[in-house]
Amino acid sequence: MNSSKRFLVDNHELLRHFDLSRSRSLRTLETTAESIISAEDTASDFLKSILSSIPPPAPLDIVILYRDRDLGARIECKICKPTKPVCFGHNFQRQWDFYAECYRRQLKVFREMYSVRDFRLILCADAFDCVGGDAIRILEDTVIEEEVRGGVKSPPP
Amino acid sequence: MCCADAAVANEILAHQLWYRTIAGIKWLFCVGTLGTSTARSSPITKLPQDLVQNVLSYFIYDKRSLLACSLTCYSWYIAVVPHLHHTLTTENYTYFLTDRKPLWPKPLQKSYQLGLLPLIKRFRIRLGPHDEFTPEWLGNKHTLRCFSALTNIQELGIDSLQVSSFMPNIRQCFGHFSPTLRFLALKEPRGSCRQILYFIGLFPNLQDLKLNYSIPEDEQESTADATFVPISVPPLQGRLTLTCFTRESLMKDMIDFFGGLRFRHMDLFKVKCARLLLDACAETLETLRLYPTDVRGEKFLEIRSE
Repeated sequence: MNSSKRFLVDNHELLRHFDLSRSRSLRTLETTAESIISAEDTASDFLKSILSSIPPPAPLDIVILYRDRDLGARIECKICKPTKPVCFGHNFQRQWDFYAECYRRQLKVFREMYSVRDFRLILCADAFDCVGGDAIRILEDTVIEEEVRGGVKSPPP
Repeated sequence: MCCADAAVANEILAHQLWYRTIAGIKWLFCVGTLGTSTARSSPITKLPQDLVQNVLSYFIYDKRSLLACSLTCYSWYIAVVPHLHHTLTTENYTYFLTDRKPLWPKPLQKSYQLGLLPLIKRFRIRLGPHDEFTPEWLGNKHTLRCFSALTNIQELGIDSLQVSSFMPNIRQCFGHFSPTLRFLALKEPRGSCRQILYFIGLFPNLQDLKLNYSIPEDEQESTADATFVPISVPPLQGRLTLTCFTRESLMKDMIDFFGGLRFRHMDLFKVKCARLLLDACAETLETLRLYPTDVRGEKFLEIRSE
């Protein structure tokens, strides 16, 4: 039994549900990092299709929400207290490369989205302080690395 | 049993000593500013309220620090107490055997005894997976009295609310939330579209609405429910959050009875009527949250095995 599965993105079907061409005041499109990772290769097609339906002249912010678990937290951990997010000392540092690679894959999705429409990318870490610190630093480093390559654009200060 | 009663009585007494200024709180609600002779003696009263609130904002989510702050003096207590008691969550199940969360309606009754209910702005009723919130939960007169004392609620969340079981007298149970309620979150609400719409219409100042189902379900409507007409038109200009939502008729009725939809923010996941909502809010929608795993709106993950 092959467990490999893929999501399907049928642009026609997708836009039947999420056509934003009539939206007159849409300024921000949000999604979650978790959803991008779960959708794998189709995340780019999904977001590009949605973007293509938004009227072009208006400025648009794309906000990607990184929650605790996207930043390496586990809700339950035997090392820390049950039901408390695990601290980085117990989890994140051992998987440093894994999360850095996740962020790079997400940035590839954003890079492809720029081919459809101009937008301002905002990466938003919605996490506890103890969880967020190191992960945000890695996220920032990955973005800077990508900026140097010309893959993403920095928001204005 | 007597020992248990005595223990409860002692606990309440201890808390009454802890919250020794309930009368002061009530007075504060009546007058609205600090200024008793007791308060005037404290240096905090010489500080602008903005500054005091700014200081508190640094540890507003740190309950231990807030508690410590409340012990310094009467004036700090008065400044801190609204932040200590703005949220009340009642549970009816426990995750672990060692979990000693007080179950419904104990937290409500305890807050009532301590006179803290007017301070609560966010109230959440969490139930177990097989429970349903029906009038029986409020059947006890004392519980109903406590529930009715929640007069300052701005955010209300109820799991498995059986709206149909409260009809037609639902206003008697929930009407006291009407003046202040801004945010309503219903997880797995049950009832016809008209009944749920009638419930939403009880709150004339409602801005944000969240309807959360775990799995999409078919609608079960009754022609008898057509008599339920919402008694008010809430503004609903904030955030709409829908999860696994297939009740298109409810949204159509909302558009009909409320004269359209005006939400500025939407969070949609597996919503059957996404197109209807996006078109209805085309002029007002500023922020939209979607999920790349939700490629077809109303259907669960459309996946292909390879």
